[in-house]
Amino acid sequence: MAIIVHLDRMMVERKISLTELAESVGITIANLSILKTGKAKAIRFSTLAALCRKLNCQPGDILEFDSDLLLEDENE
Amino acid sequence: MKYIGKKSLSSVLQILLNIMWYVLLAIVVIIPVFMVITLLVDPNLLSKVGQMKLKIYSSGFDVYLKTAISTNDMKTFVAITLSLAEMITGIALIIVYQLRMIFKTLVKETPFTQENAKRIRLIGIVLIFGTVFAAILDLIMGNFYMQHVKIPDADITTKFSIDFGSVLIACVIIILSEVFRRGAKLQEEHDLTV
Repeated sequence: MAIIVHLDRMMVERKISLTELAESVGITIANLSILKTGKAKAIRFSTLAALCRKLNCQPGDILEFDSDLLLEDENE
Repeated sequence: MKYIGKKSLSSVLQILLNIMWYVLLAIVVIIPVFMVITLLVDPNLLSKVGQMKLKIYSSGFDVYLKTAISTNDMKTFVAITLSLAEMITGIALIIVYQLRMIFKTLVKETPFTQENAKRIRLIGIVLIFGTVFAAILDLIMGNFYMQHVKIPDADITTKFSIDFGSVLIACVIIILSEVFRRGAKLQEEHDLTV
């Protein structure tokens, strides 16, 4: 996936646990774990907005685009 | 009425499929055993087979012949009949197994999985293969009957006929498997959308 999720880094910086973040954002721990480990295929704007509000950051702080990984995806 | 999930129509059908599976499994085992006994161990059984009355099934009526059939080659008759029964049961076994696996997912989890799509496709392919196979086997059996089985005051003619209804159903099943495959992909996308 060409989009890298930096949720784990943001969580460490904000000193927040997976359970606490999941509860405040209103999604399940399983789903937040899918997002954190980079397995997610899509993210809803509502989820992204809730994450940004709780972590007090911008979407760019959580998500990063890597063109090299995009080439790898296309070759697969 | 609940169609999928626990205590639903699918759970009842799952039980019926399980019973069918074990019955077919028993038949698959019994047929070769019976074949060995009749052909090798106890040839006297063959004379009893020769006293069988023939039943001819049609869509609207059945014909029962009052006199016993006779053949000059009872061993081949028994071997061919039982081999055909074994092959047809084998095909039915493959289909019932796939259906059992599909119904298991209907009761316990979501039906939209790539495995189910593959299973449905396999059922369609086996059904087409089985229909053509059955037509060929019928022709072989018909030819043998024509040459070796004597039914008093009756002529036997053979013909090659494929059940196009079954082929059509099989094609529909294969198309549905593609629909299922796309459904499974959508389910996966949905599951991985946070």
